[in-house]
Amino acid sequence: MRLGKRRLGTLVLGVLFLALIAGLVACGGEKSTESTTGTTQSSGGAGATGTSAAGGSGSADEPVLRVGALLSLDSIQGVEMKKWLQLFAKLYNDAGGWKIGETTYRVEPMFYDVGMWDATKSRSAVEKAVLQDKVKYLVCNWGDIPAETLSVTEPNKVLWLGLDFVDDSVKPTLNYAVRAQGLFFAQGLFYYICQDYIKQGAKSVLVVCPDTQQGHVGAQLVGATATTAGMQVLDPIFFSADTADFSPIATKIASQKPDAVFFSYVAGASLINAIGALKDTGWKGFILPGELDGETLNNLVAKVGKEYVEGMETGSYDPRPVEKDPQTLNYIDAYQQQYGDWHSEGCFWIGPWFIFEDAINATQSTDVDTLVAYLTSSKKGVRTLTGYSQLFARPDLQNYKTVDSAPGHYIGVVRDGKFEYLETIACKDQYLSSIKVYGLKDVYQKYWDEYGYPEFPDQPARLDFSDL
Amino acid sequence: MLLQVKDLWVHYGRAEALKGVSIDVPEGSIVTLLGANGAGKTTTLRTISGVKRATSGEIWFEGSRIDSLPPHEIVRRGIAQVPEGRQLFLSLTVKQNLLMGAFLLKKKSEFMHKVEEMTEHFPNLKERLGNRASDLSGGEQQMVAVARALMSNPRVLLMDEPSLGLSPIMVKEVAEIIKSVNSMGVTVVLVEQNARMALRLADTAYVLEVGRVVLSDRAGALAQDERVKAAYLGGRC
Amino acid sequence: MTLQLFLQILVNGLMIGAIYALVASGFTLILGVLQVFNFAQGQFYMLGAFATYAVASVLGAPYVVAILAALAAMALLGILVYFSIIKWTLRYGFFHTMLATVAFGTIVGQAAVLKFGYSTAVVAAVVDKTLALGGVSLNSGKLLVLAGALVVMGLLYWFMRTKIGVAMQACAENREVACLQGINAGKVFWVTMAVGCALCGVAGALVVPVLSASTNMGQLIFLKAIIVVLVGGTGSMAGALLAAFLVGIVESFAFQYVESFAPLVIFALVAILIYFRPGGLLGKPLPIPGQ
Ligand SMILES: Nc1ncnc2c1ncn2[C@@H]1O[C@H](COP(=O)(O)OP(=O)(O)OP(=O)(O)O)[C@@H](O)[C@H]1O
Ligand SMILES: [Mg+2]
Repeated sequence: MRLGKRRLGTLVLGVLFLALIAGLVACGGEKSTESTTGTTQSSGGAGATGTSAAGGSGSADEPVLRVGALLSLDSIQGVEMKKWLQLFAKLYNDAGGWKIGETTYRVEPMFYDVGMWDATKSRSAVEKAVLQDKVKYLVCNWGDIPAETLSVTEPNKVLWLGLDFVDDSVKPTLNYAVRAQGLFFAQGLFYYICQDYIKQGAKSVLVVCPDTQQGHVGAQLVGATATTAGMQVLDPIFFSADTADFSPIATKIASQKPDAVFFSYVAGASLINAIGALKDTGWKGFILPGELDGETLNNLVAKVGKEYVEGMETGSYDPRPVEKDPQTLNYIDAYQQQYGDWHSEGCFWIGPWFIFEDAINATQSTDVDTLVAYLTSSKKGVRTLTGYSQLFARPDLQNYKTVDSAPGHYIGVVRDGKFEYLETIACKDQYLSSIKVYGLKDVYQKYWDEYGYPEFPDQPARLDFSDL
Repeated sequence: MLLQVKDLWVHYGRAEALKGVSIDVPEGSIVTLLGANGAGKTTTLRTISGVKRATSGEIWFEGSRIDSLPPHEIVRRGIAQVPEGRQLFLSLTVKQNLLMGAFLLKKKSEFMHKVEEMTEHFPNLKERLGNRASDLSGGEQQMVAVARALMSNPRVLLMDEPSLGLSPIMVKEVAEIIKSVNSMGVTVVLVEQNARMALRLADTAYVLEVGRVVLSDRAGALAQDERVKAAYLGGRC
Repeated sequence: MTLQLFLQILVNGLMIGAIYALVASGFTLILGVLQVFNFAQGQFYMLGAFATYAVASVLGAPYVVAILAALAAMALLGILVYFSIIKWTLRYGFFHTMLATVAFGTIVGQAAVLKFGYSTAVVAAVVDKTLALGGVSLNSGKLLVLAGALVVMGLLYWFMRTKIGVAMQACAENREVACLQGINAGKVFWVTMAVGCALCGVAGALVVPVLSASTNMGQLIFLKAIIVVLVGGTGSMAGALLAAFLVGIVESFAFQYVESFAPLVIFALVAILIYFRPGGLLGKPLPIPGQ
């Protein structure tokens, strides 16, 4: 009996403790309503998870449009993209469905977790999507390994609209792949910031990247951009991706005495710690932090003070302070209504959805070959949440179909600790500055001479073909 | 009877170590347990101290049952043990070892007093207090082990082969220590392989064989027993 | 290499070494005394950092109060974890407790992600000045972390010489014999959990004005803590302290020359060390699981 009592006491303690954890979780959930707790991490587990809980009142014979997405649900981008896709599907379903041609479809988003650039998970996810669930469209792929997933989608005639950091998905031999959110035609941001910094007196630049595949690709691109813009580029510094203390890195940066430091693929806590450590060394100069969301900027200012980041230029994915397009504003409202708070991490990467939507609406067809034919001879830009995105050909890879995108981007400057919008980078600027940075003018000139110059959305642009 | 073990059965996993051992320890006496390797002597002491649980059977001390009490409670009631092979805390100093023995003493002054008492009793330890236990000789270590057990003012001292690994001179000294401890009023349960010494010291003796008590008598009588002579006293010092 | 650069690298190494030292000594204490491989150790560091953020930045209390609050909160949480999880799994052996701490650490990590998201918590620098010593300028925030850590280590040194501290060492060396002395092992265990977790909490509290807090900081430091414990020797507090500074300084200097290969240098050195001294610098070989 004595023992029993003691055991009971401990049991009560244990239950209290679990309740504490549950409370903590609930608090987190409270902040971002039920959907966050429902979506965020719940579909973990190895391999693929399909979600079929859309709409609700779906009877068996109602036609269903299954839209798949291979997402890294370990990352905030993946989680946010999932939220956006669920929202888009809900908007269609609430309005009675998506009318395509003569048929009205209920939209059913299907999510497959691919981990973080994990070949095994990518493979099992795409096999589940294509072979088992018979998904015909994989839009918004983020975190998969294209070389792996394309080997399944291509022979099965599945449309793949995704992202990759190498050129695996834009090879001329592929028939069903479109890099709908690429970073090849995306050098405008760095190019213009370089120009602005040179104007203010910066001569040399040091690129700092994590020691990952994207980091190395990023370092190369940023280096090339800075060289084209006229800066002296010092040897880049790579640091291990799991670095927590940036002091050694900052000390090394400062000892090279650059005028400007560009961080590529450094975000969140890492970025704050890196810039904080840089300040500690006494170094002062121009900083380009890559992308910076509002919250990170606030934290950064709390850490290093306003003066240290005054005049810093950066890209942004947050359309809220900038966008005037009514349709985009509607989406922003719907997101906030649905989820209670706001995250901008998914806004940029969700772009392929709009390219997909545009293709279906333009062709009024769900046939994959028809959609591909439309996409690969694209003539115009499509509105995404972060401005226009447009597909272009890659003559440098002998690919004359429009398979690679120039995405939209905003540039801003930090003034008095706040982010101030400078301008939107036009599709035209993304396209032309990238060609200039890569030194591909001759190849593209030949292509334009044969196929004609591309047309661009009606946006103010800094560059013209004559500037190449 | 101060300490009483009644029909004790103890298992290690499925293996039976004790198969119904009963032992009576009268107040103020020295009781010895004899037996070959693996007979179950250590197991008996560990079970009394509460670090090993009995499968069945009872242990009574001063009129109350103690076989389900935790070890520290048993020490608090007055049963201390000098474990087999001394087992000092080698990384600690001699004084810290004594401090551990005195863990249940509440006051620092009480502890200091006990330390003084022990250094009187074992003068060799006086200048060794600050040394690490690992730096001591085997004989000195045995003294620390006894002193450590006496720190808690026990009524019963369980000693597991205190003569193990000591030179003949040291064995004699240990025998003296046991006698003087007993003369201070502490009841002693002595486990020994050195039967000659044990039988000389003890009042009563028990002989264990594979987990059973096979003989028990007054120590003087057992020393004359032919079987005991043949098995335990022959050829030994 | 100029003197300035040399000293800056040295201070970097010392600061992160001090943090490793606190987390690793907490870990090695729990490993030694309870023989529990606490996979959740890093999470106490993370929670300590966030607790400091909550008290200092959100409630606006003085930083010293925030450190004490983080210390107390983590000590309490450690005790709670002992009574609700460790105590029940301890009797089933090494791997069960290890798995239980893996589970607990994962729950805490995921809960933190849900609560704080992927955002960072930033505590403003306590001293935002650089110290100029004859032409050499050093960041005083880092020196403060180092000083704070040294104070904590001093307190720990004192604590390990109190009666309960000695009892912890006795339990680590020989649990059964410690019980035979009248030491209540259960009490020693929860005190050990409190001290071991509080050490991590303090480490998090000290570091957060220099490095901002993020929900994954616990996992990152945990890996380093294990390396430190391997180098220092399992269960050896002195070894952990020595190894922590060694690893911190080597890491810091290695980065200057080989950049992202710095972790590789550390692992290579650890492998060589373990080959020649399986028990690390000052310890015994790893405790045998199941014993
Ligand atoms: N920890 C243990 N696990 C399993 N079996 C054990 C354990 N300790 C002892 N035994 C077994 O229990 C039996 C009794 O052992 P015990 O140590 O009590 O004998 P002993 O009389 O003290 O022997 P010795 O003279 O060698 O010290 C032996 O068969 C032994 O193998
Ligand atoms: Mg024995």
